[in-house]
Amino acid sequence: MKKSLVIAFVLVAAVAAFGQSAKSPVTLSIVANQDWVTKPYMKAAWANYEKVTGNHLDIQALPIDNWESIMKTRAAAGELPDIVMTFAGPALDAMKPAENFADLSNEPFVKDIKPFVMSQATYKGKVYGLPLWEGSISGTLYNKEIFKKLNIAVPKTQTEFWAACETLKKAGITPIYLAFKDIWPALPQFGLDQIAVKYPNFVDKLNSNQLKLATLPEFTKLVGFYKTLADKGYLGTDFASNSWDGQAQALGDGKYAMAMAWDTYLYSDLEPKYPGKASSFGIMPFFMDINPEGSYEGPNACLTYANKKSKNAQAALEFIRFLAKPENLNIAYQDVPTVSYFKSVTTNKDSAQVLEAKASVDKLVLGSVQAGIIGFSQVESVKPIQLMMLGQGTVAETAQKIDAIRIKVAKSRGLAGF
Amino acid sequence: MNIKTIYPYWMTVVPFGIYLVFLILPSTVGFSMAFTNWNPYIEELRFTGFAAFEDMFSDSVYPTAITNTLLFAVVTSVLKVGIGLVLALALNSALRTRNLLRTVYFFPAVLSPLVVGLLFSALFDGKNGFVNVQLVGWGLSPVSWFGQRVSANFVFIFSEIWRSTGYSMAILLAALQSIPAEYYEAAEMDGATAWIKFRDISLPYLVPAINLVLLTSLLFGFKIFDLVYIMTGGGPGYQTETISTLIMNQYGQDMYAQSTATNLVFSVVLVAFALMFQSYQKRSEAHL
Repeated sequence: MKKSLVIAFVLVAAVAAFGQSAKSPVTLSIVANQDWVTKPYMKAAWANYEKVTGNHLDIQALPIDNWESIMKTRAAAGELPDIVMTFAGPALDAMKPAENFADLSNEPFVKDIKPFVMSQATYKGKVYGLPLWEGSISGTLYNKEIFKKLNIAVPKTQTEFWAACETLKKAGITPIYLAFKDIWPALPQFGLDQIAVKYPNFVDKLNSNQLKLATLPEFTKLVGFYKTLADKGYLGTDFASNSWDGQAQALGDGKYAMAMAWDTYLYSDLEPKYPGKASSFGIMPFFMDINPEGSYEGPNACLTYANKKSKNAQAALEFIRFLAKPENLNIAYQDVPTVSYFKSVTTNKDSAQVLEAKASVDKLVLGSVQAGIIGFSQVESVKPIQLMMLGQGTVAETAQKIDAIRIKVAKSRGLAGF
Repeated sequence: MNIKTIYPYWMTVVPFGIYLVFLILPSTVGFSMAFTNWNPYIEELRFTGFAAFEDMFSDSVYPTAITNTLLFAVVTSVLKVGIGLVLALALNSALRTRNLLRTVYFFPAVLSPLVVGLLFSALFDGKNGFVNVQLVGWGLSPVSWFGQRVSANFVFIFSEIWRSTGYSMAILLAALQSIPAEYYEAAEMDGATAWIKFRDISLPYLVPAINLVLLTSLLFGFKIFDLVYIMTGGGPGYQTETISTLIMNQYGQDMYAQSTATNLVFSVVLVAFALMFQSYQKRSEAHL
């Protein structure tokens, strides 16, 4: 009996020792917006990680219109997965980065981040995330072939932009595709960038209730811009049915001549559905009735964070370290038409659209301010604009409603000054 | 027989304990957050009284959400009972295909509202939806179904009726089949017409089942979320907002306390309604 027990003990110990020595693959869970998980460089980076390490990634793709609230709720409930993808800046407050995410400030990759991204990659003096993201330039994408066919010169001023819309409409081509149904693609944030440069400490003053959007003539013009688009038929007669998913088809089929988006959209969304079509498009500034010359918006970095509270915290950190290695970054960005955020990346290529409009982009590109404005949501703040475009409410009333939403949210957060 | 002598009160301790731990306590703790400054940014939870309830009296979205919710609940409930009753009567007759038809009509009831929402979203899509393609084929103009309040509400109501009329039919059919055949035979011997048999035999026996279907339909209708959220998200603007989507949207704006406050008031109203309905139900069935 004793002999049998000894043999059994030895066998169990041997099995246990074998189990420890053979490192078993880890499954890391990642939560992200469903739009991000299809980005070619993200897919390439993740596939490379799985191939090299043998680990597995469980990707949790959240709906595009409410990913942020789901993520915040999960953070509040302490149920974040191993890896989290979200934007940096004040929007990160709700995720409580110091509490939830690994501090990456001393990681070697931080020195590899280009200076123009550092302000977005830093939160209260520390780096918590890896900015593996695209350096897109947002502007008005336009179909060069249609413009050429109708002899429309690329607009350089607001007046020329309206004239181009009129010419397109008269020729039977709907000037602009706006994914109205999905709310967020209206993106008035692009106009906010233009307003922000006119008012010093714009964001801080809004967040301390020293400034109201509805009192700014430029903001009223921005709201009025959407009313003009709807009233003059520049979005087509059935724009209320336009969805984000339908935008690539609308542009690819040539039924619409322009859309407000970003250069990388052409390669991530249009090109896969209409091969060769991306090169038919160019980029020009947003003309939103504020700055006569219009403006572009620079990249808004989304970062990858490692949850330091997860049971796979070390593996999550190793995942970030793996992605951040220059050789792996170069694999991820291989032939991707984007500006890279890292000095060591050389395999990317500049988008033809930005190269073509380089002088204009360099002159008119602005940083994004929307994420810093408390209570200005890409969805909730657009709803009053939607109602106005459908004939409910004036421009002034709409501007006031947007302010009221912002103030309501700020009050609920107990901010000083509200 | 006195039922109390069979089931002594102490036997309720375990079920009540489970009810207390898994429903009453979490709900009470959850609803108490409506009286605080709860949101994802706070460092310290503070009591704020009724501050989170203030929006209900000033925010113009509430009247829209209440109207849409009431419209949906009442119209779908009435039609689900009406159409369900017609189907139950038809499929209670000696049709050769009745078993097949019962399955066919009941099938949508097994689908989740989420799936039905996606299905009808595709059918009524303003650009490439089946319905608009047909309309255009007939020489009519396409309709922006989800771009206007009236047409969007129509699609919500239509999809819910399609989804759960089969369930109402099944309940009513079961009630119809429990009526003793002798009553109908006796009525026929007295020369009763089909209408009289329905009015004086079927309908009185169906009242408890109709009440049940009405109550469950109304409660589901008041809580409608999935269909609306999938099809319009409450838009365009706030035009198709319901109470439940409003609660969700407040939550999405990080106004957790306000969202809980709306939910609390909504829950109290629903419980009050259910109690009133049960009282009416008792009275309506007392003289059967």
